[in-house]
Amino acid sequence: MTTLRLAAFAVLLCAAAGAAAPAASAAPAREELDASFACASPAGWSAARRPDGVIFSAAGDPSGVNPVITVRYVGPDNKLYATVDAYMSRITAKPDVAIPGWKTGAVSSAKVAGRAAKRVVNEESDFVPPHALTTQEVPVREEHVAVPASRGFYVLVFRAPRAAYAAQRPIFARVLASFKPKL
Amino acid sequence: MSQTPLFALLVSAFGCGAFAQNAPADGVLVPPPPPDVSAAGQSDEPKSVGDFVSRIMREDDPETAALLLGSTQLQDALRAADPVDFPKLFEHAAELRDMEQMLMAPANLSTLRLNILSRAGCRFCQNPERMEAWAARDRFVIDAVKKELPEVFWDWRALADSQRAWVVAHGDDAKSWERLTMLERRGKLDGWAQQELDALSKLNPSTPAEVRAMGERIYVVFGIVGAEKTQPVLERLNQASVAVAKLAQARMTALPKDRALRQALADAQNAADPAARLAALNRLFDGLGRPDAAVRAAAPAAPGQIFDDRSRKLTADLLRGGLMREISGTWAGDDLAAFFKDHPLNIAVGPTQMAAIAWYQNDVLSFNEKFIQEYVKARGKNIDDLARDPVLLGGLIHEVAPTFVHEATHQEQDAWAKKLGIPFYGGEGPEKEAMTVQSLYVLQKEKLDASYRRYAEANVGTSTFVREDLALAQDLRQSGANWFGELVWASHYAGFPSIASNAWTNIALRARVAGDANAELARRAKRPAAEQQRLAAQADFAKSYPSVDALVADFPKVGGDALRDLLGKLAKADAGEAGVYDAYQQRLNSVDATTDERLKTLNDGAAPRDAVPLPATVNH
Repeated sequence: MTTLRLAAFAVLLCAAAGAAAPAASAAPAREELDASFACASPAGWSAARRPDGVIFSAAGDPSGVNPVITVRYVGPDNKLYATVDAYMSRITAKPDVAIPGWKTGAVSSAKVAGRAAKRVVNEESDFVPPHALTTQEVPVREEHVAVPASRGFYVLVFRAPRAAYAAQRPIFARVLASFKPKL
Repeated sequence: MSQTPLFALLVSAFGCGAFAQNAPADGVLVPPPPPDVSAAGQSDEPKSVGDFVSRIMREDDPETAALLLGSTQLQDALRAADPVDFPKLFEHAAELRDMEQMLMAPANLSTLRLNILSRAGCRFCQNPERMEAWAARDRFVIDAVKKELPEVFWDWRALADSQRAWVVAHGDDAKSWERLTMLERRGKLDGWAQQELDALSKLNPSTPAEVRAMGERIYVVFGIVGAEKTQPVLERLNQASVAVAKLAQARMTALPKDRALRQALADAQNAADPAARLAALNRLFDGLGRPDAAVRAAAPAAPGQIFDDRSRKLTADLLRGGLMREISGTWAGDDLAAFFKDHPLNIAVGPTQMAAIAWYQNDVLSFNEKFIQEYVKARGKNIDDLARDPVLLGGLIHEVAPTFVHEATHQEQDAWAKKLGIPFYGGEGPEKEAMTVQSLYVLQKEKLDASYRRYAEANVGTSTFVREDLALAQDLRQSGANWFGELVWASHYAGFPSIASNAWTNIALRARVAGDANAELARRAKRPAAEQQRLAAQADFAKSYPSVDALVADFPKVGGDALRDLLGKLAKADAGEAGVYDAYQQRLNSVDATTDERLKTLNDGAAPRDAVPLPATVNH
């Protein structure tokens, strides 16, 4: 197993820093946060870097749905969920129209990187190929782990076809165990 | 298929001077260093023109290729050193980047194969031995894909026994097979696939295991001939799958002492093909007073359920008015109403070999008539009933409106690209955006419109399309736009071109065309003066070409000025490619930001109203 170290990326907190900046300053001061993290990269999975995180994907599940692990940082300026609690609340919100096979799990406590994290497992489904006469429904299990940071938080998500979940869960466990956030 | 204005595609440039080609900070155009690269590796950088040529052209080294592609100064220096051969060097560097992009993400075997086959002009991609050796060395290519490559390229050892026997019977062996390109291998296997298609079109599986086995055989054929040619046997498989499952259900049903019903069951058991089995099952379930929507949808169509030109036009007219009414009052509806004020809204209903239920092309939004046919069949209705029965039409419009929003978003993207003078690419940006807009529409619609919500609640258990739309909407609500797009992309579109790979594919393609144009000009320069004059005075290019190969084939027949003009346009397009990339990325970022703002304002828990009336029938 190799260790993937994401290049440090800057989160610009223009509004917050601007408010604290001296009134005489024409341009708001910019404060840069290094919200980078390190985690184990699952062997044989692809790793696609994103500005705020990474997506690991595995190929070849017979259902046509690729198991995916995402690790990302969520800043305190996020429009939809600025805190761990807001994230958990959104991720456990029930659909307006109940979808057969979908279940929202209960939020529980977890320890990740030595921090008190929140965890939930939802049952969902995917449809492959999308919007086609031959579309098949694939039951999917999705585990979210939200880890607090000194500002904002990190989210680690494991999403896999339900039939493959148990066999692949140890891979996610290794990612969780190796996760080292900087903030 | 219509003639593609490839000439325009090749030379369309984007005038965004502010974008530096080698600048993106997150390393999308320029690949980031791999995780275990150390500073010591940098002393091994190529230092001379010879180093670059050797490493890129002979060693297929993707890191040297990335170095070249990421530096305009380096490109200028190498172009000045060898103006004739530089396009070939640049072309191969872009090919390496393109292939690396494709193979560093998980994709199923058939998608990989079809993607590689689609790059017919890429000599490197079509060489199995060279590609596999390169992929084995490339640290970005993931292991799962490396393992699949022998099968992707139809290596001798990966052929099925029946394929190998066919190939041997037609004059090849392991040695001669090794020398063939991927396209040549496909050409040879095409005969085997046709034979297999014939056999599959006669199969009548009667157990779940036989259905699975048929599906596996179709999958192999699909990898050779593609979706269009396998569609008829896929339909037969779908019929067989429904028939076998429903026959098992029928066998478990206690039948009354009714001779016709018992005969229907016997007919279903002894049917000669899946269609006959479905027809018998339909008689059985209808006779029991428990009509089965799945059996009805898959069963052979009655005369009133078969589309003709008149009913296609009638249905398209009904959809045109009904869909715009259906989406009005939503964000997507308002955006599209504004768009269609000065753009054509052309709705068509037609046959297709594709499995998609709708598609967009050249200002026309088309619906797959088979989907509509199955919708009316499942309800025991005829196509003309859509004009007479507002509830039937209303249900259809509820079902297809999210897809209409998706495809209409593609039309908006096409118009946007035309306005900027850049090519309209499929793939990452457009699909993420269309999925996002469609899902936000569903999320808002189920909150605003009680009639839609009732329809969704009543049909979520039986309609895959309703369930899929609601599921995507909930995913968007939970994740927000950006990560919804990422997950949809990772889960559903593996192997489709990313925004960056579209750029590399076009750069490679243009480099190849420029190389051939330069070679033609160089050839002419060596001819006697009189012949040079005659060649220089030849005609201009045609307005459009069916393929890049056809364009290149015309090079000896066009004048020297036309070739030089083309080279100038190609260079301009290359310089603008980074701007095209940037424009697509910015559009997606903007859609994500707008979507998150809108998601934030959606009032969770608000009771929906009957604000949008059921679509009325259209008078003719």
